[in-house]
Amino acid sequence: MPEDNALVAAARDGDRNSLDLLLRRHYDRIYSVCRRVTGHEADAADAAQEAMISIVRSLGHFDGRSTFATWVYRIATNASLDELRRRRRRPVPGINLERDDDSAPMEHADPDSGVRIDAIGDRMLIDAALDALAEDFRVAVVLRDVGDLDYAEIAEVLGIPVGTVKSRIARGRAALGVALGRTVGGNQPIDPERPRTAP
Amino acid sequence: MTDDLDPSRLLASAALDDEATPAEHAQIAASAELTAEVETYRIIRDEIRAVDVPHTARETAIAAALAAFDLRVAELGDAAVDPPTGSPAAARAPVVSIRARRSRRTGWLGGAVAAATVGVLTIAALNATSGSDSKSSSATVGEVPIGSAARSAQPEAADTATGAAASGSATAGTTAMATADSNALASAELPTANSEVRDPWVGVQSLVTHEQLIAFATDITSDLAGTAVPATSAAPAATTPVPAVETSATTGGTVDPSAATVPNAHAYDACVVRTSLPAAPAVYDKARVIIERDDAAGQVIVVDPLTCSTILIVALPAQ
Repeated sequence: MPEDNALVAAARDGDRNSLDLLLRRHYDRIYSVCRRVTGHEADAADAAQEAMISIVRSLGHFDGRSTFATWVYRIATNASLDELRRRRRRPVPGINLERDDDSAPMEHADPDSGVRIDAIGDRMLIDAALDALAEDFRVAVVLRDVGDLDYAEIAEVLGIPVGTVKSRIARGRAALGVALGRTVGGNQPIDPERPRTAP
Repeated sequence: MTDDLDPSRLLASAALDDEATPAEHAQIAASAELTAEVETYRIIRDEIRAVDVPHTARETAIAAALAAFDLRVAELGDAAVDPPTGSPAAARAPVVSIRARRSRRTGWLGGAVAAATVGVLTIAALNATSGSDSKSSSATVGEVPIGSAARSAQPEAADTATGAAASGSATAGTTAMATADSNALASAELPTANSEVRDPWVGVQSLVTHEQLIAFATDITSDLAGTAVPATSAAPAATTPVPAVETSATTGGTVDPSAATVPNAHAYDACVVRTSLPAAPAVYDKARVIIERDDAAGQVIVVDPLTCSTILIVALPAQ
């Protein structure tokens, strides 16, 4: 399979098929980054499409100093943030994270529907938890966990030091763990000296 | 978000990303809580990664990107024959009209119906003997010309103004793009205005930057909203410096294709009567558009007059 840089070169020379292959290779992850940054399917589709068009229009400016993926995610991140800024101007109904513990359990005619509803609920909780995260932390976590960029690449995309990237990701994950009720010690410090197994 | 992040959480996060040293990994391995923390982060990471990518969105985006590529190639190849009226903007419309997808979410049919409505209004005006007004036109569906009917029946044609996307197929999308290309070039030879009505875009400002859009929108007065453009004025001069925009492949029937597809007074009215926002015609990025100002939302909205769909939203500066 041709490398990204070879496809970029061919596309610059007018090879449409190479461009098609290049775009298809990266679209899913671009969309995923947009989806997790914007927290909304339609916004993600818009942002991803903006990003794809920007990629085509800017292909001549890609100088190969970074990897194509890093360059692409920078564009996708900017498109997502642009989309978020546009969205802030529109009223969007929020998700109510609070659960009504007093409500009676639902009965499901389909025995698997409860499982599916739980899965949908988990996705909504992830969306809500990410949405509640400060934008700086969310973008760093998404570029790492969805874009699969390393710290140096994220630093390049965001224009911040590697140490800041490391810190933002750790803070973001800690906050997500708390928001999702999964962090072992909540906000309490973890004692690294505690033995791994009970004596 | 607090600034006092526990260093052990920093360690757990770095370990998950293989950014920890061997000594740090050993430290984690010795701690049940740290190990559990890493595992928790791993689970959350997997959940964040689990994104369903819609097939339609993928094909739409790729088709639009390839259309942008085709346009670039065409622009390079056709530079010598590009007409001065700016018809490349028409070919570019499918690429820049991403925002229109938001209004297309109710289905491409809406856009097609809007286009057909514009066609009906236009034909009614053409058929009138004199002094007809789009708002008093009473055209029936039976009067819809072949061209308009075909237009609403062909998603790839109706969609050229809102992106090569409605069919959800890259092939169809690029086919639509090619159609738009050829028609845009063809329309450059056609007159830019309906001979029976005043062209709202005559003498309007040509805008390029967002700042210009904002400045233009800020100056729009409320009483322009929903104001029908008089239809009895003389035709504009042939040298009207506004772009001809051809977005349909239809040329059938007895209708001058230029009148049916170039935004005119009726297209303007058909869009503007739908809004209570201050609105005015303008040329943006070499294409005829309607600019609306939404003070409540703090936005400038750029609307495609052929489909009444949103092309672009620009935030107004905070007061």
